[in-house]
Amino acid sequence: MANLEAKGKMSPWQLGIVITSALLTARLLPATTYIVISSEQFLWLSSALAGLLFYSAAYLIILLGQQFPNETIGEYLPRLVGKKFGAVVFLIFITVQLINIINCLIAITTLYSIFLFDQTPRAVLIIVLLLAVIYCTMQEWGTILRVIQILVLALPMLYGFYSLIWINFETLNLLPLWPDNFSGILQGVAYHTEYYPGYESLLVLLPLAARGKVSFARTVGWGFLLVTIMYIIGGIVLIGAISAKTVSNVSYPVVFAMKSVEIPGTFIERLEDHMVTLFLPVTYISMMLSYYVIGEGCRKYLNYNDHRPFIPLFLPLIFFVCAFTNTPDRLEVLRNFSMFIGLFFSFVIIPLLLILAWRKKGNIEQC
Amino acid sequence: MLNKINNKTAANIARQIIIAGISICICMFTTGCWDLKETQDRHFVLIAAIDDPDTVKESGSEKQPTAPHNSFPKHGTQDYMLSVQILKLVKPESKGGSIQSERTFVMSTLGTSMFDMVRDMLAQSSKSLYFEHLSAIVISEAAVKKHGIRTILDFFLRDPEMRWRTKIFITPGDAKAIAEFNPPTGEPGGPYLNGIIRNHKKNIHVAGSKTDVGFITRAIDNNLDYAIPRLEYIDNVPQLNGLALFKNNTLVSYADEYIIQGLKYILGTEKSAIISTNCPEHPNSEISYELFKHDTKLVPHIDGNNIYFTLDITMRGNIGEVNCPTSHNLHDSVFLHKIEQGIAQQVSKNVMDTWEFNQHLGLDLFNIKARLKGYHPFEWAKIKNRWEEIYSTIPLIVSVNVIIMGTGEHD
Repeated sequence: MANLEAKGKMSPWQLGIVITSALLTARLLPATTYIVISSEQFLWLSSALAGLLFYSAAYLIILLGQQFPNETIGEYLPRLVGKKFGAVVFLIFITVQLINIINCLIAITTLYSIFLFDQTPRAVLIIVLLLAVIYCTMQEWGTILRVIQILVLALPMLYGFYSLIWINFETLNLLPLWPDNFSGILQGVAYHTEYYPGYESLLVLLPLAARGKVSFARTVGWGFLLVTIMYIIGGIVLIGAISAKTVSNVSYPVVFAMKSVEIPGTFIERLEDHMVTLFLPVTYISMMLSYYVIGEGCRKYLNYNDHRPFIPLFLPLIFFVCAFTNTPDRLEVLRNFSMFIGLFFSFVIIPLLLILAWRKKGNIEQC
Repeated sequence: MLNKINNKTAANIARQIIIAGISICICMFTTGCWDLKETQDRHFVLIAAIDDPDTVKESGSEKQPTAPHNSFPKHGTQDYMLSVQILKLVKPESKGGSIQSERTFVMSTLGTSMFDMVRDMLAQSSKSLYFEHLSAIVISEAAVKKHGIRTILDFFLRDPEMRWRTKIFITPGDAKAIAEFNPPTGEPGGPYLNGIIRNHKKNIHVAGSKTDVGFITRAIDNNLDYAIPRLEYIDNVPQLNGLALFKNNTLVSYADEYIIQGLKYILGTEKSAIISTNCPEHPNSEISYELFKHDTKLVPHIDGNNIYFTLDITMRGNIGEVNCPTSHNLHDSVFLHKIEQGIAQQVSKNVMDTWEFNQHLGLDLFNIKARLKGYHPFEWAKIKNRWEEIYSTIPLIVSVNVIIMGTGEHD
């Protein structure tokens, strides 16, 4: 029997699946409220523009990866920007990944403590989930990849459930179709860091993917396109079902919209609970991937043989930040910090690194 | 050497014991369900009835306000009386051959905050209250006039335990009396009320579409006008009788059966309806038309400075009943066409009366404002500040097309 765990590589299409599955997480649930506060009924337009924007960031990462094939960000940073600056940039990269895990944990445990386990202390939920993430992250890449390929099946199931919201759809809620608040829509685009997290993992995952006939830009692009279409349709149906004003007044609009669905005569009740449950495997993928990327990135940066020693290292920090961020004020600080550091890394640091890489390569070619 | 090996083994054993201990501790604290509560340990609330305590006292129908409140009046004001109908999770008892059909009981308390009152009820209850199966919220007219509906519903909107498809009713009498009602069918009162409102699609005189917690919340959020079914206690049976009309947070008026009929013609919310019209040849007899397909389209138009709406209604149905003293040839297309025209005129008049009724009250139950804003956003921007004065002058042009598809099985 083939050793399924030993495989340390993946195909370009598998890379596309991995990145696609990391994008959709429970982070989008609370984020939808404040996106709609600024974008109003044009949530769909905001999501479409954001998809384009964040794919361009992913594309820049792929271009950067092409300059250093078979190397992760931690390996080429010291050569590219020097040891000190390299350490700072690497630290920012690790922070972006850590923040994704923290945000996912906060989003999913808050959701569960409200809708499913209201008697269980949130800290206990955080520990349980963290342990489950760590257990999987401690495995080899081959095992992690297979876990992702299985859990990603929850995504169509989740979307299938979500599609029941069409029952309450009203076109009038989407009108007028002509936007009169472009600045609000653009502000909504910035908040979409919560809708498109985790693509920065490419900086570590690219060397794990075998280069073939299909380019990474294409496979990752298909993934972004799929998720963006899901967001656009999801945005249209959400606003059509419960209206932009209501979305901006509730904490979890997607769950609220699901609560509004009733199918009389069927045994299925409380559909929102099923949907909340399906968010767990979807979010788990993103957390696990980010955690693995942290471990693998550190391994390469510090020249270790194994990524495992780095996994428990960040556990207390993640737990402490998650447990500490339990008031609206702290959540807002974390949300703003996540947004700014995410945008700064993707749209300032990555382009600068790419320009530097091109310049250095140009100099070498000239020599 | 042997000592070294022994030390190493001892260290290994100690390490394993520590790891096992930590694993056991983690398992003890993180596995299992912290939230476990058996079904029989809960009190399932089926109806929440909200009254104004002063009105209940005046009407004298309040037989047993909870004993503790009589002997020890609560501190502070008492704005509401909350009564909850709770499901009995025991088999109906058999007494003298007949089965006791009461499957529910009612608890009441007084207070200002709904949440506080719910917790206060634990003084009368052996189990905690559970709202996940709440079927209906009945609010008395006096309570809603005094406090406004948004304030009353606030608790039901905030608590994640609540369902969004819970039906809301307004009653001119005591809400508690409706909570105490035991349906003749033996089913609990909550699902019974929920079932009554579900039948609105087949009864043109009863409105129930978009009148639950979710839709009312949406209307309040969007600053829209809305309607809530009126439930009246007639001959010891709760009956749907009219609609309570709300503008913002305030109960403005009631709509009778005729206006409800007009509303349904305009919005097309029914699946089936019986429309009776006078026979073209026997004016004292009636012909009943069974409507089974109803399409309606309400569209705003702007022509220069004139704003008007058009309403196109297409109705398809069968002849359901003919009460004429002599029989008619229902295969005669001219005769059928006269019936179609008669029904169309009747529907058209009803629609116009309903439109004017709404304009007279300044109510926008058809989302006129949203339609105008949606279809003509630039023109809307020009007139939105004068909307209140413009609304009452907007004309409606109605076109009703009635089609008789069949004349019944036996002529």
